[in-house]
Amino acid sequence: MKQHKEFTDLYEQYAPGILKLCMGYTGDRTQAEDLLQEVFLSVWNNMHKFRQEASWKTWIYRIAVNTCLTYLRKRKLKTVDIDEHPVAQLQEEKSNREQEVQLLYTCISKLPEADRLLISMVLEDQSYEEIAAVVDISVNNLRVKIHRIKKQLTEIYNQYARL
Amino acid sequence: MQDFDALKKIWQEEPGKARQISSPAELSSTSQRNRKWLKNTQLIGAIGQIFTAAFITWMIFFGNFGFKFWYTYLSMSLVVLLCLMQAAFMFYTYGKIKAIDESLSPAEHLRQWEEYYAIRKKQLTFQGPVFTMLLSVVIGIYYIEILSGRPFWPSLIIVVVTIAWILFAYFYLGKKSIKKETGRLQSIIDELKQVKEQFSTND
Repeated sequence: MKQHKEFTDLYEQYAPGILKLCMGYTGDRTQAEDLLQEVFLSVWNNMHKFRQEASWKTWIYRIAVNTCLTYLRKRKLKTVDIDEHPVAQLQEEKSNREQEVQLLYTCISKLPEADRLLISMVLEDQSYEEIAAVVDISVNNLRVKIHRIKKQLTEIYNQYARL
Repeated sequence: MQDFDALKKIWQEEPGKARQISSPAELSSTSQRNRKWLKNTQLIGAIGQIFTAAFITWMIFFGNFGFKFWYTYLSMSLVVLLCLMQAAFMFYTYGKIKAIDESLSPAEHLRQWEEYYAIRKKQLTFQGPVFTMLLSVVIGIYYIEILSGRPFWPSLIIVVVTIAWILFAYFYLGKKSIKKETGRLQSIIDELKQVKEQFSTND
């Protein structure tokens, strides 16, 4: 019962952030929701292995990153093609804010797999130390990668926002 | 023209509405079920092979077949060996799937999956020839028993047809399906390697 409570508390606290990470990874709401469920099932199944060597946040994000990376192998991701889904069409369907958010997710999903996950954590305002702990790379290496990905993402976004 | 901070603002204003749950039982995942299925297939298969081996062993000692040649019993023992080899492979694969840990670093986690697919590939390329060879020996020995004392020409036809079938199954059907499956496994391994490199390479 205590474990149930602990799990639902963790879900409540981290599910919104993980859902956005999955949205950035897939660019698709349905797949992201499926991935979110998969992440938290793994969390539930592995809770007994948690040794407090890292924080719950690092541990859960690490499971999320791994689940996303192997999810790709299980299903070929149907990433949304921006060229086939121009902003003009989106405008008729959604509010301005929703369009921007969807366009951002779609642009992130155009990046290489690892970059999608790294930049999603940066956008979520996680510190470089936290991200480095999740993906197990040095902070210096991460800093260089993030610099490159930020530039790349901004370029893709601006390129498609003009369409 | 938006800069990165503007993108960050867009991201952070989105609340990320996740479905509310009150219990883990409300979660479901096809992939988790697939992994469980993958694991259980190996375990059930291995147990099945052990039961088969035990049953054939029982038949060797208590079956009262009254075979004329001792090596016919040897061929039955070879089938037992085949079953046990298959069981060992399956237990090994089961162990590898069970050991896959989602809470390891991405590079390590991807390496575990890569290892699993490499084992599957090795099994396909190694098991095929070894099993075909052993099975051919078993059938050959068994034929000595059942065809001894029979007319020459019908016996020869049975032997030729059997050999032709084994060669066709191994060199045409087997090779074709092994090539297709190893190609698929190799492409998964390559993809995993590629993603792993994205984390490990310095920019």
